[in-house]
Amino acid sequence: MHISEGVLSVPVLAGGAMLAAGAIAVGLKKLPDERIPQAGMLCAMFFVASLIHLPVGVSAVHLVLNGLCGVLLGWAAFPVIAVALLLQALLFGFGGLSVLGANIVVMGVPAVLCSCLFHAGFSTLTPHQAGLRGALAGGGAVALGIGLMTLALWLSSGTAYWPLIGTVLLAHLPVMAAEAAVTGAVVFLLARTRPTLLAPALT
Amino acid sequence: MTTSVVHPLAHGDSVIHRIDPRVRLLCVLAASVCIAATSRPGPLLAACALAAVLVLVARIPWRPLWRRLRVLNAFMAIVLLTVPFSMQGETIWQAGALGASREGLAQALRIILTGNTLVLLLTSLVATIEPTVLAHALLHLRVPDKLVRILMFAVRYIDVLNDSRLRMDRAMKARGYVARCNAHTVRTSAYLVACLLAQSLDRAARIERAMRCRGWRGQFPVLNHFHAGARDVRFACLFAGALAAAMVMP
Repeated sequence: MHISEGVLSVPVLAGGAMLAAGAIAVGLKKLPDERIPQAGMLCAMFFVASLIHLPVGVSAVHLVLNGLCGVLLGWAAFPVIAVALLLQALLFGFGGLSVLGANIVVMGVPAVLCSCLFHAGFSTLTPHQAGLRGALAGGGAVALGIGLMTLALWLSSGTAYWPLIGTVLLAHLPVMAAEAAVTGAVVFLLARTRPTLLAPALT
Repeated sequence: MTTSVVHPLAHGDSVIHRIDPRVRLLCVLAASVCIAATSRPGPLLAACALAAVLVLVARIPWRPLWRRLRVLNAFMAIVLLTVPFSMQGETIWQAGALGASREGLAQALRIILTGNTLVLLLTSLVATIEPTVLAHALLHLRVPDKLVRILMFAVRYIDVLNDSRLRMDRAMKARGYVARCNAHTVRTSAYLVACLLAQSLDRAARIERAMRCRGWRGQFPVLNHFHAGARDVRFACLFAGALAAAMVMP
């Protein structure tokens, strides 16, 4: 789920960077000092989880887990996603510095939205219901991310990118299915074994 | 046995590796803005050549470089296959009902050139900075220190967690697990993630307590101080000159 360097127009890149900076500032403000080790650790966790690949048909998808990130962190997902994306750009060359802001928005906005929806009336849920919500959050976060990606590509060049956007959409359908299934199962397991981890998000 | 994910390129010893990290970061930022804002082919080609020279000077090993370019250019192949056919303009090649336009082809090539140039620049100038040094450089460049602290923790623990992931992976394989496209694989991967998550949060709680008991007051001491010397200034001037020359190419 990375937008590559070179595709977006300058206004979209600048807008993405500004939105990302604002959202990171809010996220940092809501993140108390004593939870920073936890945020850093989760950041490392999400980075490592993105190294896990699931075979889908003839190819493989790697986990993104931005929905889970939002469910666990709330607004603090923004700085955590920012750091994880920066490291992915540096260590693997996914994305890059100029599209970093746009990529943070594409992954972070769905994370925060999913966290709000996930936590509404959470305390009364059974583990199965929580797992179902987790699956919705996981799949929904990817779907929303693709929507934002489409918006960024469309704003960059109008209709000229439609076939490109279509291909990107198609390529992400298996990602969405895998994310929904994995996030659902993770949330189900956490709700059964560590329910306290799911309760406090920094909304 | 353990392989580090965190610094594959930072251990080189080239002229580039010895330049002040802050200077390198600022150079890449300036160049990214200039390159992203250009659409004429001359400056883009010149900037791409500049980036290629920097990669050679930094003596980046071929294998990781190839891996990065392959990831990028898999996407670029899709761009080359779609954009020429979807952009309006003078038709230069007809395939059935589909016509490739000159403008579309130019746009696709522009995207490919920009993307590769920016990735080469990032690889040669920034990926060659040790991540902890990068964190200090970011602090000196006034990036919020909370964000840098998250970066420091992540850099410190990525390899720890990855080792733990690889250990569980080996244990699963030893018990006959093969990843396939089925529900069992999804469930197993999800439980692997949940295990990693529980481990990482427990570890975070232990770290927090350990830090408190050592008098943590919410601030890392900044140990790396950088001094931009004559060499760094020379590099910055040379880079700025080359970039400016590239940008005014016809």
